[in-house]
Amino acid sequence: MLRKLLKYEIKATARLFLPLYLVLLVFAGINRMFSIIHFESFNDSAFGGITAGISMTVYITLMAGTFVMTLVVLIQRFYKNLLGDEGYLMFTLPVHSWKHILNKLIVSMIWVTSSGIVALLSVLILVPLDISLKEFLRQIRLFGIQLMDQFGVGVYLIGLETVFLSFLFLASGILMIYAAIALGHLFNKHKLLASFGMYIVLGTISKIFLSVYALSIGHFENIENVGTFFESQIAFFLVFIYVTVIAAVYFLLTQYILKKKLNLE
Amino acid sequence: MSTILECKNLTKKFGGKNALEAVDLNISRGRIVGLLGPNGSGKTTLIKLCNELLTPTSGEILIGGYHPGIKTKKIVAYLPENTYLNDWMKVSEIINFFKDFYTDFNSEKAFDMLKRLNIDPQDKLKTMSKGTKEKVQLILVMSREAQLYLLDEPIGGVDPAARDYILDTIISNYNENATVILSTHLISDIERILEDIIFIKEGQIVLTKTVDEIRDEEGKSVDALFREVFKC
Repeated sequence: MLRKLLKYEIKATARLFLPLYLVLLVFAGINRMFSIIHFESFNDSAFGGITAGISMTVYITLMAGTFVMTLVVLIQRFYKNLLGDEGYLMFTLPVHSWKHILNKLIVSMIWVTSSGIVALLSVLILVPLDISLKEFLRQIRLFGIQLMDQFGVGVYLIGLETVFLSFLFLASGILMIYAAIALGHLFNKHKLLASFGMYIVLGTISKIFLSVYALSIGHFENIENVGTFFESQIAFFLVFIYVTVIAAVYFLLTQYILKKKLNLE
Repeated sequence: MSTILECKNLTKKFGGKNALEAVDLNISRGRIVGLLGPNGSGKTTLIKLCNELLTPTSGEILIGGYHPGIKTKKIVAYLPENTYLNDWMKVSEIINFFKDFYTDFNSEKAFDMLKRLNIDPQDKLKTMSKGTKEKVQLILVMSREAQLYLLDEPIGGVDPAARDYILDTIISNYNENATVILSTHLISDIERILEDIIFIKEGQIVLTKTVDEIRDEEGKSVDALFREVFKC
């Protein structure tokens, strides 16, 4: 059933994101074109200058819009599709409620990641490739060599772990939003406002938890100094435990509310 | 006759208020039941509890022998009062959605009913009027070959002509083992199709009878009895 949920969730969201991505990339291309013909004194003319200015403004707006929309859709798909009127349909499907949460989470992660990739891609289109990209790649290689010197072949493992942890952080961030919305749903009035308040509360609680966690570890391990490969592995593991625990708590809290405390209007 | 829906001492509180109070109910398979009561009497609460959209404060519900959950959702077709249609699908797409999630969904039946009610499957749900949306929802629900149909105010928003067609659809579409429970306060319109009635008042069941019993014993129509029981 999760596969079917994913199919419809992707359909419902792709129709919003794909056109936006396309327009963003097209405008990056247009701006790039202006910067090329700049040398042929097109931009010196008033018309050329204004056109280039407008197209740059549009591009920047689109870029900001992509990030705003990613966040708005992430919230809307949970709030409207599960806790709004559409919830009457979704929660009477023969599907476990944890699958609804997992479905929303996976699809949100896909879109956050692709928005990031498309934004990066648009910057690469916009900025003259020959200079900046080469320099960029050179810097990455230098950084890689540095790491290699320090950790040896373990650098590949560290790279993988970094990617994995980034996704785990992303997941826990999204689950925190879901948990806040679910908690806000328990209020009779001003549910959106309550959700916002709950988000702040959850953020504060997880920060307190982090401090306690870090302090208790600090007693027997100094994790600030990750000089060797072995120490880096301990640090990864400790961060992994922290993120997994809070993500699990948010997930279970959301699941509990959706299952036992649901009260659609 | 076997039981399809059973409530035992079912209570639901909101805050401190009882929306349902110690409801005991036994509904057999193969009946058309009217769940009748004034606004705020607990009809919707009872139906939502059966669909796991609410959790009982105490007591229990059994549908085909199971507590509300995945197993019961497979055999219950539910029409809520709300419009639950999203704003991005076409009618044909929501039909595929139902077909994907419910194994008992009969698309042929759905397309047939759409045709009878002059609804174009290629229309977007977003652009439809409220009444048309209600018709689409009812078609989706009645196109399932379910064991229990729970219809919350199924005819409230549609015109009288469509109302007749819908009631005929309800009678002709369900098989003899299935039970239909309709909640409404528009009794005179649906009286002709009802077999059993349940009167609910302030969260309590005040009367359960067959329509024949009412006519024989009381010598009244359901509508007249309703007006008497719920006299303000």
